[in-house]
Amino acid sequence: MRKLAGENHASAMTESLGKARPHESALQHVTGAALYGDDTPLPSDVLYVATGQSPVAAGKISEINLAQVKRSLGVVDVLTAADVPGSNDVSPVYTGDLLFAEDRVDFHHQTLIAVAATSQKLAEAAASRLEVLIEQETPRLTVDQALNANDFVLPTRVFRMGDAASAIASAEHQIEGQLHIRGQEHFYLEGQVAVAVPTETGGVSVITSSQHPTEVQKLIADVLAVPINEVQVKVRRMGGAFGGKETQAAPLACIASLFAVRTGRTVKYRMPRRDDMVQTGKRHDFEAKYSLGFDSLGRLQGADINLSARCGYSADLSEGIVDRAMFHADNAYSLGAAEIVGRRLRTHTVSNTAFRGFGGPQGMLTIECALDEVADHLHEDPVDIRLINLYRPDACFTPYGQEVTDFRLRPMMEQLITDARYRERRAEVTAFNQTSTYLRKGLALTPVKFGVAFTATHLNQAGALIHIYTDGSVILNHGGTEMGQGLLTKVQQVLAGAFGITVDRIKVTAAATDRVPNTSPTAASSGTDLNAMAVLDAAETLKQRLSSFLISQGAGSDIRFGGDQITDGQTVWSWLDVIQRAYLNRVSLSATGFYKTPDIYFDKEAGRGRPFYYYAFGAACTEVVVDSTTGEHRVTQVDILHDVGRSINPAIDRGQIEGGFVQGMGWLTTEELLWNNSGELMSNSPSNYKIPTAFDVPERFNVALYQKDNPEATVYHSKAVGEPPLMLAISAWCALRDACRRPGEQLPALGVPATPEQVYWAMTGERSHAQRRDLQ
Amino acid sequence: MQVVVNGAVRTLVGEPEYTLLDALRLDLGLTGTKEGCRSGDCGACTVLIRESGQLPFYPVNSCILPVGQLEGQEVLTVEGLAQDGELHPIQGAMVDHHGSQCGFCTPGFVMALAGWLEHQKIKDVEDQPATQAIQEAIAGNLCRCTGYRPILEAARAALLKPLPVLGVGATAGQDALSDPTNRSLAELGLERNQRGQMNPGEQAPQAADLEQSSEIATASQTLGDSAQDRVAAFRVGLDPNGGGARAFYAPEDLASLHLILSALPDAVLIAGGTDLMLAVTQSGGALGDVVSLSKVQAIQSIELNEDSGVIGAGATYSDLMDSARIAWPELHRFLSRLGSPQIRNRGTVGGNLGTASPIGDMLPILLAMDAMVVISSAKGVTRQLSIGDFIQGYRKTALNQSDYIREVRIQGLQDFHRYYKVSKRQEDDISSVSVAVRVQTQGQCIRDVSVAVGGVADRALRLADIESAFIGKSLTEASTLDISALVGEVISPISDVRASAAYRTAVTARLIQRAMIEASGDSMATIYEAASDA
Repeated sequence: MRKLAGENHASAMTESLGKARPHESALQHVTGAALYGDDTPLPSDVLYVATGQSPVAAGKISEINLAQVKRSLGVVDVLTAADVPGSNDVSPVYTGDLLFAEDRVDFHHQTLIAVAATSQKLAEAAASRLEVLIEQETPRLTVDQALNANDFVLPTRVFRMGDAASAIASAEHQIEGQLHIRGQEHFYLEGQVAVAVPTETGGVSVITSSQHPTEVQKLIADVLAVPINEVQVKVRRMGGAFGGKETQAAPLACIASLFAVRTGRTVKYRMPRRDDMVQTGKRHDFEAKYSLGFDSLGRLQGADINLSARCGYSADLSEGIVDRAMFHADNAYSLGAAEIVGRRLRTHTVSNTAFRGFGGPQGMLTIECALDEVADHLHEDPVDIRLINLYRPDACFTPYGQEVTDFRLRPMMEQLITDARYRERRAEVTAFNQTSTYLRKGLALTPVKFGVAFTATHLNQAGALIHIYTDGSVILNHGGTEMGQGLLTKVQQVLAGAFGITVDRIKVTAAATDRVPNTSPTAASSGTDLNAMAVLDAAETLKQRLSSFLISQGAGSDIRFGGDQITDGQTVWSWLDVIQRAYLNRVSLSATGFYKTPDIYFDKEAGRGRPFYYYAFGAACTEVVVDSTTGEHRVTQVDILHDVGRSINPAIDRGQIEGGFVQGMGWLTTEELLWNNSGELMSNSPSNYKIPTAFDVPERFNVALYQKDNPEATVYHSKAVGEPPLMLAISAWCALRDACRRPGEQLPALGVPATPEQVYWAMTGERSHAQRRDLQ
Repeated sequence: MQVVVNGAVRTLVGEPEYTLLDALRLDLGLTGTKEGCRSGDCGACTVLIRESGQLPFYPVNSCILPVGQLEGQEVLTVEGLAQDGELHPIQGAMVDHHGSQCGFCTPGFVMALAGWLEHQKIKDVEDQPATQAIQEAIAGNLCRCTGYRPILEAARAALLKPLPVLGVGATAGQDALSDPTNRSLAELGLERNQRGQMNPGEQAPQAADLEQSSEIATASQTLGDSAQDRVAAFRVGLDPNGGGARAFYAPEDLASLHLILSALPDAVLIAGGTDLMLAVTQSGGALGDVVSLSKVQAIQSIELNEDSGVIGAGATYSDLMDSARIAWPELHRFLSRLGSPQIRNRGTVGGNLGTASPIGDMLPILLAMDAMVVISSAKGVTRQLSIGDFIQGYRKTALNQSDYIREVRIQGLQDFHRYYKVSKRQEDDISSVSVAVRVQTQGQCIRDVSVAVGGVADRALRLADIESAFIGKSLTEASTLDISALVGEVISPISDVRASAAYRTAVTARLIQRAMIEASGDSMATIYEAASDA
């Protein structure tokens, strides 16, 4: 042990935190070494799964004939609903999400049976031999059809503040309108996959690509009718998820597990993209209706907003998703008196599910669409109408009763207006459009206010597990899953900061249900907020033990960790030295940690409470150019200012902002989900469902972080960043609509997504063509 | 059959439709190459291939590439890119610039960009390329996480770094790439079977000559006398038992091709396979006997003159793009929106013709350029048909059994011509509508005009009534002529997932009108230009 010689121990605390470190798996990504579910090494007797699916969207099953399937080459086992020993219901919250169809089918391509065979090809060939007789019914496919039939998956909810109807009626001006908002396919590059290995006691050990390993574990146990402790579920990484692997991964894991237990062999179930497109849930489509009353300045006096979601055949997560759409129907604005209604319609389509933003984007798009019409009505610049309606000290309560605190959007928007030269460019765009014959430009600047926390309060908890080994290396484990968002990288940096050691000493590991139990899904942008705090709790326990140990050995009481060293201010010991001595002195070098988000509550029935721990903010300014001969368009410039609190890793945060924007831009421009009148998804492959390519991203894509500490006690005062940036892309849709305005005419309606065709109809004013009769 | 994968000779066996992706992942355990869509749309499965050591590697979609086409060729996957523990510059740059998030698409991007960098090296490009060049290089690679900006930056950074020598030549140092004898491949003990020429530079026979091909066959191996036996010599050794019911043939010259087609009249012809293989990967279909045209060099040449041109049916879009850069710039520009680099590296003009899809992007262009299609029988007898006669309906052509397309002859490069394509997404998307217009003038008067459209009927077709409306008019008159009602009468497109009938009709008229405005001398800026000026 040597004397302290002027080392700066504080430096190590910040050495990794706040730094743009590469993703913890970057090297494995670029060399192909990173293993995904599909890459799991398999024994030679592995079985592969394919499913037999419903050829119609609705009807009663009168007969399922498996004879040809069972006789097919390579088939080892076949499953139907009747073969499930436990529960055939794999719903996350309520009931009705089925593993296999029972007596009826409720969406096209619903799973009827599953086949396990010796190769993927043979399994698919066998499944295609399924003979099924269904008494076909006319499917209900749209929100309106379901409304007419009064068919809901869950009850309607209302947020009320004041008397909206009379506030609107007595206001100087009114507008009303409606917007059909289409859904979105996740198109994670890695399709759904699970590999199940049977255990010696009738359980299974499963590798899955799921945001919610604990739920997969529980559902497998339910399906197998075994205790949860017979099932282990592990997720090292996902090849993208975006909400699409929160509940949608479970059926694959359950079916693979059933086969594994029945056959005693390892079973792999990976959906071909063809199945993934038609069998897994998507972002909800919404029919939004709004009615606003406002004064001559454009300040809102009252708002009546109706959000009706097409939920598909079952509830899945639609309760929280429609709630979140309602929570974000105000976006950043004081609506005055407000009534916000959320309806959850049952249709004969695949059950819609979580998707980045979780309903928030649809609610937010509705109010942004409406505010553009307020501005149009008053011939004002839309950005001024937005500014005048922002939450303010005398109007800071949301329609659900939460006070909006630390509201940052006014300075952020003002800064972005300056940095992006919004006013000058508005004049330039106007001048361009006055002289251009067929090219037209559009510009918009829109804010985002996004509530962070699970609105189901109990989910706001997390656990962590840390082991320190005798060479000073550390294993870090927690309930959060890595889907590309950089969670493991950030948490690794947080722990390195807490221990004052280098990141290289810390190995991050797969989320595993036998390491940290009873976890929440990695969702709601809360991965870092929850898991990093649980890790800090475990780290604190270990630091306390090490400090107590050092003090017991005669060290001073002010023990500090940093620079790969530990000191009492007088003496400095290396990390390794302390760890080894602690071990020899029988100090436990393993600890768990736990965290629950404080101060949040919500009364679902009353529609009042404080559902969010805090809000994350952002603003984006987007410019577009449109060709009026075809409706083709390009985003030409994007400027973003986004609030991440104090950034744990600015490169990762920027990646979330840019990636979120582009994903949102896809939702609002090129990604068009269309069903035919029989309820079959027509946009069923990447050849006809088009997510953005590199060419769609503007060269001028300026992103700045608004770095100001989160006043709440979040991890290092950072803010969540996973979902909020997606909604920055609303500025692209508003800019396109701005470009579609014909000189001297009213702002036209514009479809969502604003495909070239939709833009074309908006520009020509021939709206009658915009609604497809043949496709929904 | 044998293929060099990451510098080692590997033996592969499988059915004729066996894909490179399955070979890599299932048989060779190289799981770095990912399956994202199995339809050539996402690029996660991108690997590099090259025909011989002296040619550059180029990126392809391994998910729709039948391995039978690769016998004796070289494959490089993401696992083989780093050398002696040293990352390839694009790998390092992707790490430094945060180009991966979930990482699943990353190997595909790395390989697409490594392939692009190879070509930048060969072209000796000094200036930093425009962002657009990089965007085009990765137009066939989808990323759902990053928003692409960091990947574009990584590509720019990698371009400034010295590039390593890739593939078999890597350990032999800088000479390997220029080694004309392709010794390095031979030194690896790569067995080529008896039928092909070792040196790909050698010209294949231009004319059908059954006698010659039988010599090739009999000279090499003891064979029976029957035609079946002679044909068997051309089989790619994919079948584990050597005599399966279905086989893959990859002839390298016309004589061999004719021999095989004569003996196997029901065989499926495959060129790039970018459409045909979808029947396998998406619908689980099996092909019968497969005859690949990809090695028949005699049908791959491209000759573009001042006003006319001859395009070999086996020429890839990438080859055509290169040839057209100066000689046919409008085509060059248009082709950048056809598929992706991976698709263009395999897809052929003959394939587009043979498929005769109503949305085949080349077809309206060939119609507008009065193309003649040269068809050969299995005996080598050729005949010519106008493309209008060649395309007979929805995916229906004038090809008889055992016929193949030899080449296509175009004319009118001196005439004013414009090609347009409208799709939901700019890059790597299928046309909602495509329009090709060619205008022949006498002074300011329109002497003749060709208006061809795709995506608005069961086949690509010329619109004779529209053409008549323009003929004899002055260019100025033509540019202001309202043809929208007439277009509505002469086409009756369908509504489908890509666009509605009403939109297709409206845009067809607007694009034809646009062509006439441009023909009259008004330049019309595009949204792309507006995007880069502003």
